[in-house]
Amino acid sequence: MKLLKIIAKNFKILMRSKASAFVVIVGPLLIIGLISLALSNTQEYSLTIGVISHGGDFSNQFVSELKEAGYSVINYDNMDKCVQDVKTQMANICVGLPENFKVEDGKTNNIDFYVDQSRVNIVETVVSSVSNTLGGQSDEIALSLTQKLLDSLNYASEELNKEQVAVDAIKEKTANIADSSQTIEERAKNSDLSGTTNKFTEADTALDNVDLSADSLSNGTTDLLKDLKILLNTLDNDPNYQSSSKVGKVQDGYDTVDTLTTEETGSIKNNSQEVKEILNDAKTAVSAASDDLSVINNRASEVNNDITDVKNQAEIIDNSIGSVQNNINSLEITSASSIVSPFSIAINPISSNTNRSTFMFPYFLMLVVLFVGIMLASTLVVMEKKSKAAFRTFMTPTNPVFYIVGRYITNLIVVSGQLLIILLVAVNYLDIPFRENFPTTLLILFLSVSFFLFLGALIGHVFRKQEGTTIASVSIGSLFLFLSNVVLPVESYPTIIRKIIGANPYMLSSELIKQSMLFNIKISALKGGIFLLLIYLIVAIVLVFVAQKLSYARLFNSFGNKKVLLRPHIHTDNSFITDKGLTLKSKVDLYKALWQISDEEYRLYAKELCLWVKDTFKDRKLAQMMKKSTSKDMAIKSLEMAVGVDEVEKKKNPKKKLFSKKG
Amino acid sequence: MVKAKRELYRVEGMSKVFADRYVFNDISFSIYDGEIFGLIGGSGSGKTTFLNLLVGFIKPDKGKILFQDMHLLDSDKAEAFISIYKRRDQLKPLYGFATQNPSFYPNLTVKENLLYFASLYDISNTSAKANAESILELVDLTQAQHKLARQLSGGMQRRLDIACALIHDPKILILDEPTSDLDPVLSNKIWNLIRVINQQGTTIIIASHDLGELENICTRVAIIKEGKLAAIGKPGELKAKTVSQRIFIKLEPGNYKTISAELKKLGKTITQKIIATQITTEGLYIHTKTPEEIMPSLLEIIKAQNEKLLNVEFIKPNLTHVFAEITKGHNPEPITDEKKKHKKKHHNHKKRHKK
Repeated sequence: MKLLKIIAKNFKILMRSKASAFVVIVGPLLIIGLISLALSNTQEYSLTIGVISHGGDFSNQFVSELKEAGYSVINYDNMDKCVQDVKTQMANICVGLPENFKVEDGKTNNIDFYVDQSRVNIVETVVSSVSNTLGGQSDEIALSLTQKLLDSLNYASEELNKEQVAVDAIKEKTANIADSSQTIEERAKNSDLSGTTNKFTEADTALDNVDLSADSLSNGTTDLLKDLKILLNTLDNDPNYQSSSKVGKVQDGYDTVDTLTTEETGSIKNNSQEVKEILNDAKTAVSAASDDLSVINNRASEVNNDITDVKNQAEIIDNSIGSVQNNINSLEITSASSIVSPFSIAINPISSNTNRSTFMFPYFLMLVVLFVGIMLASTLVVMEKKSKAAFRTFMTPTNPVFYIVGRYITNLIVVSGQLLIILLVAVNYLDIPFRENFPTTLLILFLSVSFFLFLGALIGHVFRKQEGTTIASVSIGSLFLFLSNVVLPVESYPTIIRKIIGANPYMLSSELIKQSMLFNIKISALKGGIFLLLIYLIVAIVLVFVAQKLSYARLFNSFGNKKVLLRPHIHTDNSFITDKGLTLKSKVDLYKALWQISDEEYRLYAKELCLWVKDTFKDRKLAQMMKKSTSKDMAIKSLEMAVGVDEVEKKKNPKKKLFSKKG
Repeated sequence: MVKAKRELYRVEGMSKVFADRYVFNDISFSIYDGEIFGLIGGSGSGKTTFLNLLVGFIKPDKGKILFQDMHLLDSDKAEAFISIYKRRDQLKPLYGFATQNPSFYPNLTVKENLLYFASLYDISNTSAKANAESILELVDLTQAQHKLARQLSGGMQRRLDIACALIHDPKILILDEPTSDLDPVLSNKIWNLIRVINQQGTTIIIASHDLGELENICTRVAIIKEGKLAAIGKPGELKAKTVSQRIFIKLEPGNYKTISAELKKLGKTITQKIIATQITTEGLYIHTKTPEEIMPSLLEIIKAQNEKLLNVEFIKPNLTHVFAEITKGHNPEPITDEKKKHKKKHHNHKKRHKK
């Protein structure tokens, strides 16, 4: 029970304190609302892409693709301008398409991405998102190229299928040819014409010999005959030598011719016989060879036919191959790398500083400025307001500007000291190029610090207590932080909210510092943001002046009226005592008293009596009715109506038994 | 006390309403240069509000609070009054204000506080240091000048607060309950200090519950009752005008009704001098302006009635009585010695509780 009471008390305290009620109820709702807003965005990240395109179908196709994917596309003439816009957040990414952008064998198509690496929570998304879109395009191209390749392969396959018959026929024919060749080979082996050749040679030799012999014979015979003829002719003509030795000589010649003829004729006969035998052998051999040749001839004819067929089939195949070759040759892209990846993407930072901590530094720096500035300034104001010395300070003839400026300079010195330390560390250990654009960075830092200091001062003036100020400072700081690029990328919000968030002083100052410090962007390019920051500062200063005036007025009033007793006739025991000493403790007493006092007296007590009735009897209705009563009589009637009075009794004795219903 | 000189403040038909109620209703009076002006009223009667009206922190809803033009303060020229509220900032250097709660920076030393506030009044460093030294001596804080203000005792803090109010040498010192939460010894120190300050020519306006001390110190007092100025004047005059002296007797067996009746039977010369008789459980009070003339007859009656006189007191009226009489029917809760003790006890208890 006691525990419940304690819990109930705690809830009452929490809900009755504006600051804690804000934290308990509004804070979470606000955060949830913002998260819902961010996450309920039906659109994808609303990204702006800068494209450097050199024209051409491929490039145009890419740009169209990006537009169709929902990106805002800005066309740039050169990369520098685009990168500059990425630095100033005009674009999220720069996409540099290559010149003469088309897929060719041996050609490397590099698409350059330039991204702001400091946008750690979105850079991957941006790159991945744009890469996916371009990758989709790349896939389409790869798909198309592969399809062409596959079509060629299919065509080749179909052609080969078609030519399979021809190949089978060739195979069959080839088998036949092989068979025929084997037969021819065998026959050829069997047809040994070497013997025949020898025989013919021998026959030739023999015949030569015969020829020689015949020639010798012929020559001898011819000569002999010639001589004999001559002799005979002589003998015939000379009778003297008719029985002469000369005749014997003729006889002897004759005999010689005869012998020679016989011998030579025998020789010729023998040789002829040999020739006959040889010729017979040759005839046999030639006959066999003739048979073989006949077979060979047949086979050769078959082979010839087969070869013709094979030639025809080969012609067909050759044509098919030519067709397939033409088809393959018609493929523009045959490089595997070109097909698989028609182009490559190179991701480049927009600044030479690639260290993540370097990129995050401006956000961290401004985070320090944001929270330290707001907390410090608000705390100092509340300390001053709640200080025991507040009254005395305000009593002095000091222009409020001095307090505002004094607090501002104090805070500025503190924050500057902190920033100096941070910057020294950053310059030395993080290689932050702080010096490069020093005047601009310093100006932005000054404006930012000043704005947050004045904002803190404003919070300090608006809230009365330290706790409220602290909670408000942390809440506002967190809100600024939440509605910036640090937690959720601003691109995740709907466009309208995004525009509003873009004006978030924390985001604005962080971006300006980043652009100035890291990207070395000159003041002329940042003048819009700086001008907005300046406006914020001026507004904050004006509000601080107004708030301080109101705050002082409130403080003066608190000095003046906090102890004024507004119910001087109501005493601690809840009795109401009139100046004449009439003590009222109940509604009956009130009723009696109303009959007794004058109208003038009633008017003196009227408002206090209403409060008394409301607080003592918790009778709001009666209190309201009495409040509306402009005279004593009206108040009496109100009382009678509210609590009910017996009219008869009232007439008989207005001071007795008045209330018959209630009270 | 320095004799009052000329009109410094003139309050003309001033009314102030808070939450539909008149805190002040058509009040008119003046405060004179060099006087110690006491403001008396019940709790919540608007004393602090009145002081804030005097310095222009709050604007009256009706009427005017006028101040004699600062340039004419030290001259004998004709009166030239200006509205406090309209010239608030210009008049700020003229007064020092010490509220119920000491107002200074706890984390600054005594001297640092003085020098800081001096700088806010555009006093040069040299003058500020000189002022600080003399004021520290005046409030007896020279020894503690290098102590942090928060380390001072309650009485010292109160004195430091007054010192801060005096650092710019104001013409008027306004003190709101300067001795609240202080024990009698410290209170006395403060009252003595106020006297000294006044003797140096500073006009002092005090709102306090400590009517006994106000009676002793104030040149004039004003009593506020339900937004009206119930009385104003020198304490002695108010006492004489408002309340009588009283004789208190305690008898045995204590038949006070008979004694009262016998008193009324005395001759006109006596009865005319008796204002009223009041029988209480403690005894009999006889209100009269001339107790010494009544006393012999009273003693005779006591003797005649065989009553034994246990106690007799002559009660002279003081400001508390005046206040009680004027605010009859109200609950003024003036501080009596008894209440002071109780208050101190309560204060100590609160302190312990805080710890």
